[in-house]
Order: sequence, then C-alpha cells, then structure tokens
Amino acid sequence: MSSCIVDFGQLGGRAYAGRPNGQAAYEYFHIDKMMSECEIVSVKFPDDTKTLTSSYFLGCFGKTIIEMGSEEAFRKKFKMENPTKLNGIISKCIKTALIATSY
Amino acid sequence: MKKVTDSYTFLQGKRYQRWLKNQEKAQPLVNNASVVNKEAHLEHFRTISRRSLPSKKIPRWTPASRPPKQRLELKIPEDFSLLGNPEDVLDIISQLSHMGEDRQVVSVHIDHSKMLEDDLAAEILLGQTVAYIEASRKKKGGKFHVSGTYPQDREKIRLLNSVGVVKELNAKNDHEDSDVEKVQIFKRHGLLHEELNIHVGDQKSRAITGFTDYLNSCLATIGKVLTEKGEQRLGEYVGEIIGNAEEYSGTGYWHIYGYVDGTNPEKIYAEVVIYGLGQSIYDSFDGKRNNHEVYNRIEPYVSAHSHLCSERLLTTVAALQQFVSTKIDEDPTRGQGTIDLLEFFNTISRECIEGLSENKISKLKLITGGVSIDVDGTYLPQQDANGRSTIYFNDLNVESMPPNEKYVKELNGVSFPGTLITIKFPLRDDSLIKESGDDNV
Repeated sequence: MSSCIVDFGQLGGRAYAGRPNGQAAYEYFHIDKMMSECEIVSVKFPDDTKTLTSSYFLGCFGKTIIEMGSEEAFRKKFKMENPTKLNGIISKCIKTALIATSY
Repeated sequence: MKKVTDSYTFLQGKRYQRWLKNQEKAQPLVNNASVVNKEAHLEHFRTISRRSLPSKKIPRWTPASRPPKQRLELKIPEDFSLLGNPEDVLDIISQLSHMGEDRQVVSVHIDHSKMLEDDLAAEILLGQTVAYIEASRKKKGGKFHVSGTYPQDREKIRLLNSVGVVKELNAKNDHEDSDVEKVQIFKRHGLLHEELNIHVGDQKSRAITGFTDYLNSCLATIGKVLTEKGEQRLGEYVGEIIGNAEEYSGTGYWHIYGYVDGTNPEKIYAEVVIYGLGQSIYDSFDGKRNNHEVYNRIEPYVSAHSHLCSERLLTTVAALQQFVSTKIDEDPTRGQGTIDLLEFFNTISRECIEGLSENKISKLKLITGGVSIDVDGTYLPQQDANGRSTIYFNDLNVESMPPNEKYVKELNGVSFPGTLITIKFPLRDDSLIKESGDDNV
C-alpha cells in the first residue's frame, strides 16, 4: 500500500453526509486494503469541515470499527486528525458501531 | 432603514387599515401570474393527489358560479398549521389537488381572512399545490386563475408573500411591508436521479452547507452566530433527515425550507420543514415483511400492542428506535437518523421548557403516511441498559407500554404521501449560538 492516508480534503464539498457517500469514500480510499496493509492509517478531516453526519462516518468506518472490536483498537490503528468540533460525533459513532453488534 | 417615529407608526397603521378595507373587496392577488416552471413539483403533487384521497369532507368549498366554468372559493380555517391542525391542512391540499384536475374549475379564490394561525409547512404545501395546478393547466393549454384575500396578521402576510402562495405564483403583492426585508428564507430541493460522485459532492451536502450559512445570516441580524458545535450539530441532523428522505422515500427527492422572521428581535423563531415524497415509514417496512432480520426488530412491539393501536402506528413508533431500519440486514449500524434528530430536539427544547411560558416551547411534528407524531420535549430519547437510544412516547419510556395517544396518533381520513418533519424553535439556545465576535465556542 503506497499511502496510508485517508484525506477527506480530496473529496468535493465540506459537508460529509449520507451513508452512500460514506460507503463510496470507503471504496475510494480502499480502507479494506489499508486494514490489512497499513500499521497506522492517518485520517484527516479538513479544518474547514462544515459537518460530518453519523451515517457518513458509519458508512465509511462502521465495518472497520466492528472488525476492530473496540474503540481503543480502532483508534490505535486509525489516527484521527480533525477539527475539535467533530470529536463528539466521531466518539459517538465509534460507540454506536460497537453497540450495534450486540443488539 | 426608515426611522420609526410615532407619526410613521400612525401612518403605517392608517395605510394598513386602508389596505385591509381594500381586501374586503377581494381584489385578485394574481393578475399576471407567469408560467411557472414547476415540473418537479408537478410530479410531486400528482403523487399527493393519487394517494391522499379525500375521505373526510369539510364544507369549505363554495361554488360561486355555475358549471360549466366553476369559480371556487377556498376558505382557509382559523388554524391552518400543520403543527396544530394537520388533518384540515392535508384535507385542503388533497381537495385542491383533485379540484385542479377538474378542467371545469377555472379559478379559485383563497380566502385567508379568517385565518388566525398558520405555519411554514402548511403554506408551502398550499403554495406548491396551486403552483402545480397552474403549471399543469398551462402545459395543457388551459388557464387557472387564482385570487385571494390576505390574513389580517402582518406576520402571516409576510409568510404568504415570501414563501407561500403569493410567492409561488409570482403574484402581484398589494401589500407594502418594509419588514419583509427582515424575513430570511432558505430552500433547496433534491435532484431526481442524481449520480453519486464524491469528488463534486451532492445536492444534499450543498444543502447542509447552505443551511448553516443561512442560519448564520439570520443570526447576524441579532448580532449572533452559530458556535462551531452548533454548526456541526445542526448540519448533522439536517443531513440525517435529508439522507433518510433521500434513501427511504423511494424517489430520492426531498425538499428543505427554512424561514426566519426577524421583525421582533425578542421573539425570533426558526421554522424548518423537510419532506420527501414517496413511501411512508410504514410503507417501507411493509415491503420488508418477508425479511425476518428487518421485521423481527419491530414485530414484537407491534404484536404486543396491536389490540390497542393500529399496525401502521406501532410500526412507525418502532421504526424510530435506534438500530431499527429497513436496511439493517445490509449494515447493523443503520437506524440512527430519527433518533439523532430527536436528541437534537432535546437540546434545543430543554432550555425553553425550564421556566419559560408554554408558548415559547419548541415544537416538532413528524407526519409519515397517515401517522402523526408530536414532540414537544415531554418524551425524549433515553438510553436503555445496553446503551441503545429509544423513545416509546410513554411515561416509563418502555417497549412494554403503548405510546401516549396524545402524542402519537393516526390522522383521520388523510395521509401525507411520504415523510414530513416540521420544526419550530427559538433562535436563542446558548449551546448553539454565541455573540458575534465571541471567540469562545
């Protein structure tokens, strides 16, 4: 894997919304390959991000979080670089994905 | 801006009285309604006509002349708000849609003079229905004349002129009102058959960005601005609702409207209406009856209370819970959007409930098919022992009790062909907005 960076700044717009868009980002960045080939993945949300929705984030990382099995394991591999205002939604999404598997 | 003096106010009052007197003569609002390019709306309201069959007759239509050319008068009731009187509003929209298909009906007079209460959602639906009829007639080479009488309240006149039927028809606006500059409107629509392209973004993402920019421009009028957190959260929830409307309606077509009347800085409310036409929540679950993974999430609740409430109503309540989705078989993390919205509403309504008068309480209504759900802060989402957010609209917030029929009810004889959410809240929550120039988030 030549690059282990998921840079949302490469994508159009600054509002990251909708599960289909999140799933498309998963495909575009080859996150499945990064899971197996990268020790650390750098995930960057631009400073001028307007909004991130839980559907988008879960569409992109939901499967991966479930596969990793814990917030600690996910965050150890996927290093988040994001504006502070996204901290809440990202934490919430990680917890949601983990709860979903037990429901 | 003109300086407001006693003489100015007096003259405005006189002018207003004169104007009201003229209205009694029922001057037509529309003299030169231009051809309205409403292809998309036309498609929408065909759907409303087809599905919302008027089973409840309200005697408000009066033929003012005899066939073959009929001139009809539509008397808008005292409460023409979807928040307060959804059945009459939908009934009027439904009847109007059907009348519009009758070529013998050549004109309609819409009389708002007795109306005391309305809201953004009702006026949008009315305006778009009339615009659809006019566009449809023009397409077929016919004519449809619309006239009307304004309501008495100036706030409501501004709503009609800026987003309601007068605006939709580009009609002649007889009423001078300098305060109309303080009204700010936002509207965006989804695109049919929009292709997914993550490099250019989509209409939904642009709408979210536009909506937060819009709210900031509204807040600027009172020297405030959204906090970073407020911008994220509002965008998040609006995005979730539009995303749901786009994915689940079956049409991919949604609308979002925002309306803020900043005339009175002490009482600034934001109204937001988001709707998608197509399938209702019940319709989409009904189509998944044979999918056990999906249906097993709602079936126990529906069975437990089916002797008390309709399956339609219970399915809708069950569908609001976290991790309940018609696509849960594809992805176990689905089923977040509505519960997120209700949690957001908790944030914006909490401050209003504590110690404030009842008329300041925020309101949210969800109408999907023939089911109406009111949210005013009485029942709010809570996490169960497993951390799952639920809202069952009963005092203990438990699945084993039926929902309170005051908050969750079936509409009598009418239905909305899709899902509509209307929210009214004061722009004053400190967790979402701050003073302009204040660096603290």
